[in-house]
Amino acid sequence: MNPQEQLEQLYSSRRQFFASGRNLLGGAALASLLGPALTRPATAMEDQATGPHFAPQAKRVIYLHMVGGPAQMDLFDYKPKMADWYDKELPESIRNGQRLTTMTSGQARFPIAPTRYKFSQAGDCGLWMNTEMLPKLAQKADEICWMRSLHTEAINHEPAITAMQTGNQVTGRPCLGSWASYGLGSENENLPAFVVLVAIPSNRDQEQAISSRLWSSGYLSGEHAGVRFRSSGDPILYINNPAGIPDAIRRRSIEGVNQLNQLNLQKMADPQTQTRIQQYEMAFRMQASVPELTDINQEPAHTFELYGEEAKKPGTFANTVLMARRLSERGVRFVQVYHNNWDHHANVKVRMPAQCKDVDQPCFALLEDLKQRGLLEDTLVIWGGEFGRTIYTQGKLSKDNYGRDHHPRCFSMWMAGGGAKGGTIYGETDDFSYNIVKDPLHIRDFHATVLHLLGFDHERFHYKHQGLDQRLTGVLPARVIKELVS
Amino acid sequence: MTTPEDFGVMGALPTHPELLDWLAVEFRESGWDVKRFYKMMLTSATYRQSAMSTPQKLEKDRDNLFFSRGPRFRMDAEMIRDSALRASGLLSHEMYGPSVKPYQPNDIWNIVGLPGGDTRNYVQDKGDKLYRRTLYTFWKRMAPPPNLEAFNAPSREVCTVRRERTNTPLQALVTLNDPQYVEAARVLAEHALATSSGEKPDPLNLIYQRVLGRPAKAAEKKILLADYQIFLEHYRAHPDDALALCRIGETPAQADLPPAQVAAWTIVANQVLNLDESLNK
Repeated sequence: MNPQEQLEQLYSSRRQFFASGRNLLGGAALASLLGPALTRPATAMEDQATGPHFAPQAKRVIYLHMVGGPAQMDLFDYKPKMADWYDKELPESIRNGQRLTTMTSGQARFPIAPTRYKFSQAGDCGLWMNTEMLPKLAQKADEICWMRSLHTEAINHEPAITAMQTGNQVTGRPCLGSWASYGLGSENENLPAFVVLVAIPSNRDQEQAISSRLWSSGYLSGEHAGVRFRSSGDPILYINNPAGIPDAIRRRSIEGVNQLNQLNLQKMADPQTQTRIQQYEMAFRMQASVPELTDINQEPAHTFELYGEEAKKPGTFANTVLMARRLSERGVRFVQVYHNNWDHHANVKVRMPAQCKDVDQPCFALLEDLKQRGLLEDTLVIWGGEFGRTIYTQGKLSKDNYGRDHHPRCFSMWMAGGGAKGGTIYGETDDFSYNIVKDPLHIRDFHATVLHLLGFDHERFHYKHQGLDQRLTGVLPARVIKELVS
Repeated sequence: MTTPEDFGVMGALPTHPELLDWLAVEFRESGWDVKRFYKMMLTSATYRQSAMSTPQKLEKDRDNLFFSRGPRFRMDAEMIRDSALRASGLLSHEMYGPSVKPYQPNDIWNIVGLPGGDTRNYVQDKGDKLYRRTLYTFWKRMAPPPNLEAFNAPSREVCTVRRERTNTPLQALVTLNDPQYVEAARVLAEHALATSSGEKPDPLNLIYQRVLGRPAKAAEKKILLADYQIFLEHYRAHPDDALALCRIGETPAQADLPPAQVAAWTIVANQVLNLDESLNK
């Protein structure tokens, strides 16, 4: 046996080990449920969990993060009594000594700003929501699982988004997408398992900084970090051949590199060389498949009727969401979308309509499109920000306009598809949308529930780091909210 | 010791505790002389072992914890860029001074920067500043240089004792397609062509010598010269492609060299810069 063959035998015994590990978990029956992607080791992924604990209801996730923190009482958390409280002081019994951000803690007054939008009931579930700004989304009310009692500890964006995505305000932990990549691997040999898309909002008055650390893999291996697809220039950085290098030349040159690397592998027997050979092959396959993926002109006319004409414009939310569908359809495990400018400290009157216009039709379209393609049942779509906003105004109040500060004690999110129970309205807040009065849903509970939908018991899904079995949900209590699961 | 960032109870146990003790005492007894200490380790028989592995070694010591072979690992982000610049002859030896902004794709800063922030728009430098050592590259923590990030350059938010060394397709895309590397390959190709015009022109050996410090072996020559012929035919038939490739980067193409040959050798130089052997220590 030459060294090359012996090396391959070593690899195959590793595969057998993992395969048997799955069987030990009772995975033999799982294999048929999960399809081929989950039963073979993900291509060239070196660091991989041994598969889910039970059959996932969601095989893919599209997470639409609304950066800045949408105002729950202007969208999904109906507070009709507030109409009588216009310009009245927020009662101390409600605020209850709560810490405020320095943006409003110096205010002399905390006058109530009732929503300026018209609410009505949507669907058979009867959710009271802002149908004035979100008429399309309202049509999907019965397919959506509404959550009105999310809460977090963080009161500023950076730590709050970090907590929302990694379970901890301190940076350095893997985000949900990285956990999904680590747990479930890739379903497509030509694309990364975890892709990030950053939409450009039509109004950019009060954008919040977001950075690549939000999609870093933390203590998981770097291969589970999100790969950002860009809306202008190369969709993946450096994916396009340089000018003057056609595909045929590139293919020939990579083949040459790999032939030489084979010689090197035979001589040095370094397993990393074997991996590098696979990665150069994957780089070429990515180069070959990404142009097709990102060419949305192939979409038929009715796609653009569904998503709106905006979807043709690179970088818009509509365009980004359409891209998310194309990625999911091709087996990308986790697509993280960011839509910025929800940080409405002032001028709700102008900003809220712009935000809603950006997302209303595309969110409707995404759910409809996934449903038509038979993908909705195993694709989980999540929509939400990092915290909520205050019922009292920040700055000047008029009947017509106001601002709202950050509020961590309650906020609203929704999810659909992938095992989320449509038509559910979970959780209640007080008349001021300030405190939760029924069914609190900590972001840890939310994470536990999402992991459950992905086939993982959050308490057993961990990664050894710094001597601890680190988990997305950390060490504080967290529970799967069964009412959200179909 | 696999967790040098953590010598506490959470860290891994050392594989050679007696050796660590001995080294500590040796370091102290020799007057805390850091340079001497490094030299002693680097000239030790253990460090100077061949990095060549065998299936037996892999089976018994997969991660080389017991030093059954010499060290072999993918170079760090900065070293990969520096070594490509050095091999091409582009590397600037200037020291000190403010950070520089070499080639970077569009919309790296803009997408994450705050409105009105002074690092929202990236303005690329010109001339020698494109070729300074990578340690001079300007660092925006919210959006680090992507060609370095791909190779696990730490974010610089917290001190990092141990870097990750992943092996991903995105890294391949950087060294294959980033203008910094394409330009380095082209300038290296021009150098190889220009200096091998004598009796026995041998650009391939020059490229190997510059990148790997050794001549190409027969088996390697066979593969790359066959590739070269294919590339050359293409660029002879498509002179526009050759010109486009030679124009990448701010360093002007050498007008006296035939573009088709420069282009074909550029691809070969790019191949050599992408070899596992070139990317590894």
